[in-house]
Amino acid sequence: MEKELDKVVEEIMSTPNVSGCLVADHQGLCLAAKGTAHVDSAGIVVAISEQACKIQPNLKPPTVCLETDKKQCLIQRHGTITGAIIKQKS
Amino acid sequence: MQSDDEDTSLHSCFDSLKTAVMGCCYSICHKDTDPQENTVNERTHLLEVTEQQQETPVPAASASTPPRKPDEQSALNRILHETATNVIDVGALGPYALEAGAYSERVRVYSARVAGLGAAGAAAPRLLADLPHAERAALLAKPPLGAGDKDLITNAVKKAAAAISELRVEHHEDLVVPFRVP
Repeated sequence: MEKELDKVVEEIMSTPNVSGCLVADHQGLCLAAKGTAHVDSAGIVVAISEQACKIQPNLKPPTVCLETDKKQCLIQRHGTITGAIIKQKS
Repeated sequence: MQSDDEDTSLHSCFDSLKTAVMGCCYSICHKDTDPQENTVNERTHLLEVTEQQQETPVPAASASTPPRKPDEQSALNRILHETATNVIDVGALGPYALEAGAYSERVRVYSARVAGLGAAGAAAPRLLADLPHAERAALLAKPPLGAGDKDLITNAVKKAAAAISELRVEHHEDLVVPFRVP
């Protein structure tokens, strides 16, 4: 049933420097989470992407990048689906 | 002639009385007509009038009136004195004075309150702190996001959305299961 989604997640995780991946629906329900991405962060990730869409309504879709010294969290929304990728800084 | 003289003296006396009570509140009670002088009743003074204020109008009255018979003069002076006693000169009472003890107590209470407010305001948590201008400018001047990262997240989300859109419930067995009901 969710094999296709699992395959996509595995593919993303196999990308170099990627340590975590999360997919959630528009209500903040976590559909898939792997690696360092925690299931509980799905709601926050969706909320951040919603706010970004409000700030930049002409940019479709806006990409949010949260940075720390070593890590990077990329958040983007596509339709009702929001994805987040956590990767080491290259 | 004698009556005219008395009339003029009474007129001058009333003029002095009007000068004495002008601009002040007064009551019309007389001590000699009040048998219960020392008891508290509706005619008792609310504010204590000092001796200096009581005697202030007397010299002016005696200066303005010519010398009269001793009994008449003393009677006029007595009336003046009683009127002045009944006058409460609000303006001469001075500003509202706070006692030193109460003053220091209020200073202590207000200082404690202000200090408490300052401590509560400073204790508010700050999740976001302002960076110095130079550091902020350097951060904002950096390139926003690499094209590789952008492609990575865009492709990943697109693939995930496509995979989820193809999510279907697979039918494996009957939804209604008979429980061998006869």
